[in-house]
Order: sequence, then structure tokens, then C-alpha cells
Amino acid sequence: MHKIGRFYHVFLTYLKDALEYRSKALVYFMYPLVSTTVMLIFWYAASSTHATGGYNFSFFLSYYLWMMLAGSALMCYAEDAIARYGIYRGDLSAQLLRPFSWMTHVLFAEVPWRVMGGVYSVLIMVGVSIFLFPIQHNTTVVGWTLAIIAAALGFTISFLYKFILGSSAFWLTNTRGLTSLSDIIIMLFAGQLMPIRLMPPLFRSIALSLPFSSMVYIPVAALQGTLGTIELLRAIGIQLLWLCLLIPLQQFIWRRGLRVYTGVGQ
Amino acid sequence: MSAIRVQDLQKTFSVAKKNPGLRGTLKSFVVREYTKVEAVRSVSFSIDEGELVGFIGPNGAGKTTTLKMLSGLLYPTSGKTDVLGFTPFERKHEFLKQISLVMGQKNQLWWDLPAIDTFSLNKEIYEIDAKQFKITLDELIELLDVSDILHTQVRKLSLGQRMKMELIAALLHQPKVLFLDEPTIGLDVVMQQKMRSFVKEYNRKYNATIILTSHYMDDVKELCKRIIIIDHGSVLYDGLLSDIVHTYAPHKSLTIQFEKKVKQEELSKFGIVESYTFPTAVLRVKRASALKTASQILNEFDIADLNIEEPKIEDIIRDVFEQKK
Ligand SMILES: Nc1ncnc2c1ncn2[C@@H]1O[C@H](COP(=O)(O)OP(=O)(O)OP(=O)(O)O)[C@@H](O)[C@H]1O
Ligand SMILES: [Mg+2]
Repeated sequence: MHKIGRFYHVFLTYLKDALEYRSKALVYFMYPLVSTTVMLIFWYAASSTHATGGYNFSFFLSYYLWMMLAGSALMCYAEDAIARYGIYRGDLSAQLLRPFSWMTHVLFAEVPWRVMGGVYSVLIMVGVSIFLFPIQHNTTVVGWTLAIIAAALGFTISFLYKFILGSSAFWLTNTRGLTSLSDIIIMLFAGQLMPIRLMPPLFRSIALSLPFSSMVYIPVAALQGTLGTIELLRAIGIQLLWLCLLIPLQQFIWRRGLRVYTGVGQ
Repeated sequence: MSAIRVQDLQKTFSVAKKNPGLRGTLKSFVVREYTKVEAVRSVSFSIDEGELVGFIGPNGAGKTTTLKMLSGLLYPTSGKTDVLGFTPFERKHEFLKQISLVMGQKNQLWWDLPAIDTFSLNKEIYEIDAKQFKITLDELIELLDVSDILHTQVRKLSLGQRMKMELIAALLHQPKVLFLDEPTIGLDVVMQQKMRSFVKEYNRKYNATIILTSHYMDDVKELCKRIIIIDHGSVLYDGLLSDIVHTYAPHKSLTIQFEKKVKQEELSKFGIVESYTFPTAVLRVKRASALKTASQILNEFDIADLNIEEPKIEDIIRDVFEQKK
């Protein structure tokens, strides 16, 4: 109990700090908002030509709004802060010397932003469903429970993945190339460019076997209610597999990285 | 009992070599060459509980690198370190709760929040007892005279004010071992003096073990009985500050005021003439025969005044740095 109180207290400070940047959070939110809008315009045009495999605009609207929520609340963007400030600028040093894990530090620094992004998304979704169109969503209690589990796993997987990506700064003199590449791959294979179920079969199986679909596509499909219970359980199984792979990988890379960490800039 | 033990400590950095110009850039893009920088070659020492040791050496000597290894930030290339019975690089929380590293530029304060928020955060992180926290904080606030800026956003503080806050943040958990890397850098003369008395007091009151680096000899002279001189990653001297005079300064200075003019050649018989503009001459003579030489001079010339002086510690240390290069 005492431990939990301690973490709660620490987290409050991180929240307080992030709230100093409310307007910045709004600017960051523009990215998922704009990309969602662009996607909707595209699929609005496409769905009117009947070339979309029988999915109507209502499906795409719901899909991309859930995607916006996932992109701003579940997808973690810590890689840049880890590389640029933590490792290159050496802010990591101050954290390493405190009896508090750096991973929890990164998590606590990330969560307030995800919460803010999530709040913005939900506000927009509520607005849309009241004034424009209803949004498709899961309708059963079991479905919601599984969807929430899938969402939590999605965030954890993206957090671990981005943590590993950011840790590449221990070895690289610049991580820009790698993170840009990663952004493109995520866009393609996480279901942001097009719903994975609409992809050609080969692409679809590649996408579903990579971890990126576990980060956002699976939670989105679960929230929207396009997966049956069995399918959903299988998807969560895949998420758990990725989790089992990423945790030791992250630990390994982190331990190796700290050995070559030089604490520059201090 | 020794609080810190270091044996054959070594740290080598690999630095990517980059040749100048576009060609160099392209070349290093294809095959990257690495040069080894031996920041710390072979350092051994041991420091007892409650000691306050000065760690000095010219720029790039390896002081900061050594302190970073002692506090667990850097992984040593080889060698053994033991601080309070822990291996620093493992960074056990039990260990981290008993040490602090304060660096002139390092920033553990939250930039956008007032310093008091960092302090309360540290209370949680270090699991400091609430009552103890209040006592220590009040004491530090009073000692460093910062009560009126506690609630100011850190980014709006001056350099010296920030340094004071860094120090408070580093001391709230009452570390038993304190690594101070140039704690007086950028402080005004009054603050430097305050900082010194503060460090001294902290050492005395908590029997804390302190290693201090500084380029200001005043810091070292006032605070440290023992010094360790390091250059090019190796220890040149480890002993009492007062002993360095005997070990490294085989000379003393005679400052003489003459009544009547004396030829410089006549003076050089007695020692090396460091300066001579009538009526004052400064003569460097062998330490052992300083008294004898002085009496000879007194006999031979008309003297208004004569002083035998130890060379300045600054000068001796400069000589040590230069000799061993
Ligand atoms: N992260 C690093 N990567 C590569 N070389 C480094 C790194 N840190 C230090 N060095 C090199 O190691 C040597 C020792 O540096 P260090 O910072 O320990 O010196 P110092 O004694 O603290 O000097 P100063 O008095 O200037 O603070 C220097 O040659 C420096 O260039
Ligand atoms: Mg230094």
C-alpha cells in the first residue's frame, strides 16, 4: 500500500509537469486528427465507387475514429525523448542515480500525454456520434472486457517497442533514419493506411504476424466490434506472444546499452 | 573502515573518428574508424569513512569519469570499485539511497516546476520519512538561504540559485557518500565561501565521506586535508595536502629588501634569481639550506627585510602537472 502511494505521488508530479504543456499536447494531437481526416476523405470517395469490398462509409468512419483514439492514446511516442534527451543529451544520468527505475520514469512521462490525447479523441468521437453519424462499437460485456484487455496490451507492446527503438541511440550517432523507417512501417502494417482486413492476402498475413498490428489494429478491431469472440481471443494470444518476446529483448538491450552509455553532455 | 575502495580502475571510450570535410564525412559513412580514449588508465585509492578528499587535476585528467564510475553511471572497462560495500554499476537502490553525485551542470531539477516540487518528488523516490524530510529541508533552506525562491519555476532561477537547489535536491536523503564535481563553478565569491563552509559542515555533522573536484585551489586548501592528483588518467600524488610541499617543492623562496644596490650576478651565487628590481629580489633556494643561505645573505649585504616563504600550493601543483607530462 505504501509503495502504491509512493508511485501515485511520483506520477502526480509527472502529470503536473505535462500539464504545463497542455497546448503542446493539442499540437501533437493534430497529427492523428489530420491523418484521420485525410483517410476519411479518401475512403469517403472510395466507398462511393463500391470498390471497397462491401464496406460502407459508416465502417470507415468508425474505423478511423477508433484508430485516432488508438493512435493518440495507445501508441507510445517515447523513442525520441529516450534517444534525444535521455541518451544524447545525457538526462538519463540524473535518473540512473535515483532509486527509481528509468523505465517507470519513461512510462510516467508518457502516460499523461496519452491521457490528454485520449481525452481529445473521445471528445471528438462523442461530438461526431451526437451530431453526425453513430460510431460502430462493440456491444457485449465480454467484447468490451476483451477490448480493454487488448487495448492495454496494445499500449504495453508499443511502449516496449518504442523503448527498444529509442535505446538504439546507445549505439547509433543518430536515430532519425531508424525512427522514420519505423514510422513508415507502422503506418503500413499497423492498419493506419488501410484496414488490415482489406489488404491483399499476402500483405494481410505479413501485417498480422508483425507486432505493429498488435499495437493498434487489434485494439481498434476489438473496440469497433469487428472481431468475433474467438477471433478476439486469438488476437489477444498473439499480443501475449509479442509481449513474451519483447520483455526479455528490452531487458537485454537495456543492459547492454548501459554498458556503453557514456553520459555525455554532462 | 574504508568507505570507498578503487583498484586498477580503468575506462576507455571508443570515439568515432571523423575526418574533416565532405570527403571525410563520406569516408566515415562507409567505414567508421574508432579511436580509443583512455580517460582513466589505472587508478587505485581507498578513502575512509568521514574523509573529505580533494580530487584535482588539469582539464581532461579523468576526474569526472572516475566519479561517474564511482557513482554507478559508467561501466568500468576494468578494475574493481567498492563503495559502501556495493558495486556501483549494479545501482542497487540500497546503494543509490546512500550516495549523491553533484555536478556543476547536471540537472536533476524539473525545469518547468518550482524546486520544491522536485524536493517532494525526491522525498517519495528516496522514501524519506516525512518528519526527517521536513527537518532536513528546513535546515538546508536556511543554510543556503533560498526560502524566497522555493516556489519559483526552476527555469527562472539564476545559475547560482539553481546550483543551490541542485545541492539541496542531492542532500535531502542525507547521503553517506557525496561526490562533488566542481560544486563552486559559476558561483560568486560570497557564495563560493558559503558553499565551502556548507560542505565542511555537512562532512562534520553527518560524518559523510566526500570526494570533491575543483579548479579553485581555495576550495581544496580550505576543505581537504588529503588530496589525490590525477593526470592523463593516472594518480600522480595521493597524500596530505601539507606533505605535497615537502615531496614536490624542494625549494623555498627568499624575498629580500636591499638597502643598497647589489649586482644580480652576486645574487645568483646563492640561488636562482626569480625576479630582481631594486630594492626587492626573489630568490629560489634549496629547501634544506634555506636558513643557512639566508644568514649568509644577511652577513654579506645591507638588508632591510628578509622573508623565507613556502612556495604557493598553486605553484607546486602546477609544477606537478607540468613535470609529469
Ligand atoms: N563520453 C565520452 N566519450 C568520449 N570521451 C570522453 C567522454 N567523456 C570524457 N571523455 C574523455 O576522457 C578524458 C577525461 O575526461 P574527464 O571528463 O574525466 O576529465 P576531467 O578531469 O573531469 O576534466 P575537467 O577538469 O575538464 O572537468 C578526456 O580526454 C575526455 O575527452
Ligand atoms: Mg570534469
